[in-house]
Amino acid sequence: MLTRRQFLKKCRDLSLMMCGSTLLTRTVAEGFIKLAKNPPEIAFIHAQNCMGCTTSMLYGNDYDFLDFLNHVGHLAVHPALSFSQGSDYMANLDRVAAEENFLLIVEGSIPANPPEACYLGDKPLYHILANYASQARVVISSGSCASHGGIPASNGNRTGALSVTDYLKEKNIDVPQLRIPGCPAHPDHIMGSIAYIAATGKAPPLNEKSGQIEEYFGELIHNRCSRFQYFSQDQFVKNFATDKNKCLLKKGCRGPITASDCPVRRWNKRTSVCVESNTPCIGCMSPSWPFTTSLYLETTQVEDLPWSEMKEKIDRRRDK
Amino acid sequence: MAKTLSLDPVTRIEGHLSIETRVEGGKVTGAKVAGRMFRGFEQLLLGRHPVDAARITQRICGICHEVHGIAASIALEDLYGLPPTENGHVLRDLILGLHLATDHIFHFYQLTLPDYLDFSLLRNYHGRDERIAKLDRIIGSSPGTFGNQKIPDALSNAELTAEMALGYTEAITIRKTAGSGLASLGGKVPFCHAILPGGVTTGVSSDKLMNYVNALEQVTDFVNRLYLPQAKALANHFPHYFAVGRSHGNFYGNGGFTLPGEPLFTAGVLYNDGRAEPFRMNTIAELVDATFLDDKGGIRPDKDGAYSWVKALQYAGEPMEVGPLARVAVNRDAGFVSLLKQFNQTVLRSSVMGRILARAYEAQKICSHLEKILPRFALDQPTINPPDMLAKPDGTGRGMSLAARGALNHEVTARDGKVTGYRLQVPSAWNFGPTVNGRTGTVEQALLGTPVQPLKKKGDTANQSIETGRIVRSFDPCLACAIH
Repeated sequence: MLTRRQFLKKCRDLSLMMCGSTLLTRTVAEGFIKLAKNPPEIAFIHAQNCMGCTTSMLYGNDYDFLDFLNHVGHLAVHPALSFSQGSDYMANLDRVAAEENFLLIVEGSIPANPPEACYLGDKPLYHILANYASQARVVISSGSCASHGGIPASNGNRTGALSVTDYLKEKNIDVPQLRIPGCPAHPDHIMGSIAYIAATGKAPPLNEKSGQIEEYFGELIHNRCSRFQYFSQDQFVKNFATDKNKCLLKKGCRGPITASDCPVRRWNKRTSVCVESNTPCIGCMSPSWPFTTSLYLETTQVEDLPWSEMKEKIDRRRDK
Repeated sequence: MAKTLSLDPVTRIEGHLSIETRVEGGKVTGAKVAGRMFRGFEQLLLGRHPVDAARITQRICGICHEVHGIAASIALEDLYGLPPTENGHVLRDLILGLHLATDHIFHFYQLTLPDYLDFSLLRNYHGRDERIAKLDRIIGSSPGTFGNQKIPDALSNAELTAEMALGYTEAITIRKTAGSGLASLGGKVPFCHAILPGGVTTGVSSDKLMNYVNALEQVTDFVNRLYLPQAKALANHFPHYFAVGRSHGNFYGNGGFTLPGEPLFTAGVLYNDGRAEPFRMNTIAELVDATFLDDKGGIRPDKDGAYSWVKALQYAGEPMEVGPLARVAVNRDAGFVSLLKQFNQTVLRSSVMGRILARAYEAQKICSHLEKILPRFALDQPTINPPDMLAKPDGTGRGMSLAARGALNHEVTARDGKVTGYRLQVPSAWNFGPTVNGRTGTVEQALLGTPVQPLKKKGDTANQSIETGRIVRSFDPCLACAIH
């Protein structure tokens, strides 16, 4: 029986032989995932995170975290839930990693400079995350910090914070990855992706352009927004106190430039969604989150509107 | 002979924390509490639009997920000269309160109970409750996470263990219900979207309000039926923890609930010699002597004498304990004092069990407060006095609020409509700060003097880890907040 690493090397060789590059390694590796029939062991590692993504998962939407544990995945270690602590905890993590048959979920960005800005046990995470990631079947970035760098990487990036993808590139590790952005990540997006992997042995289908899960991030928030009709009719919120149902674009809504199924999936037992609380989408699932421009705008700043940003993009594409 | 034990990482908390204790003569004689993750929120806000702080600061912490938004909004209201509407106050208090109650529930069931219960006893449960069988399945299917940590003095009664352990899953379910209530007022949780300076943006219709009330009623029922009685049961079985985990005994609490005429708490300071005084913001010193930062906030990972990313906060030169116990102490809460008497405690003192009990007591108190202020919401009145996003305020605004784990202050300074300075004084920084100027940090002090059982065999440090874990967790650590 091959270990995962040996097999991955074979996948790489095969890929090199077939098309002269390692491009297909991942596809071949997906086949490897498919072979696994046991429910996946799941290990969580917390990087520069706030635990919001875990909290989000625990709140759940329709689907329950308890049912998830009962039916879908086995929780190998979780920093906020594990009964064990200290060296016992690290031993549990090392044990599941050594079996090379687990899903690794990373919450938070990884600081490169200084690496001391985040520890896992008694070592800087920057130095040791690679060991765990290279042994995982899939590395899942949960939330915008892990997916794109998020807030720690914004506005001057004080700690050289890296997304998981950039980190793995820097450490030269080729392992199947999934990115589930969001600040916080949506509970269905996390638990749903894991359930998909568990059920099919494959990663969920990805959007070709964005590389993100098609089902969750295949469409712009704007296009499925319950207030889209107001947009079509040019009715916009001018005053948060008096206009309670119109389009929020002119308050700075990032719905037109942010891909997610939030408006139809909704949050917290499908009770509501950000826009329904009458404040603009702040684009927390966008790779640009938390943006360099103000999150909120006034109607007079037309050139700043996300919609113009998007229109520009479309125009540019047409010109080509 | 002195021995140094390290607990790293401390799990079942928010954030990255390591504890080092020195054990000598059967007692802890030295303790170092180190926060181990830094992002730099105060600098990450510089140059941004001030109102962005209401969204960005919420992301400091995913456990205290509403409180930073509220503290930032109060600071921004001060900066913009923008009084919230009465409905804004009501909604904000309703969000804050329900969030605090659910945060306390999470702390007790998910973070604390596994230190006292042996969940493997569920296998010996022979009752008919299907929920307990389900819990046993969950525990059994994820042994890596819920596997047995060896607790020498765990509750031995299988029935009682099962009853309390059932709260573990019930707590997750009730939080989900609370999340729905919070979402109907604030858009979603974590990170309620509708909290802005001036109030809450949501158009709160009667159905939305009804969903909130329904959630509040269920949470209240949970607190009355399970949480408070089980916290009391824990205190009954582990009464010696009223004498363990004593900090310096200086307490500081903020008000936080802002609805005029309905202050649930008042701000104040209570020293260990019995002196009480009103809170003064400018008495707080932020000391970086033992922190990997320089005076200007620059990062210094190799700094001599530094061992934590947490700053030391001192009030008039004293480290303070903050949290629910500090709040009942500062407010001289007679209800809590009589609750203590049920456990033969005549004086309110800093202790592990005092903190656990104060949290449960406060959850009940908050729930009844929320029921009381509900009628102040007027369906036909504005929920927000909206900020003018084009205004370019100059000056400083302060916001005092509270998180489940203690007093929280935000201070925003702006020039020409951009943030030029942001200061965060966060509860867990009070509790988990390092030793500076010879004053040990609050939790460090609480660890000192803890009796330690002799090791049965070489390298078996489990007993000591259990003890350390119980003391540390009773402060409800949130390191993402503390360091930010």
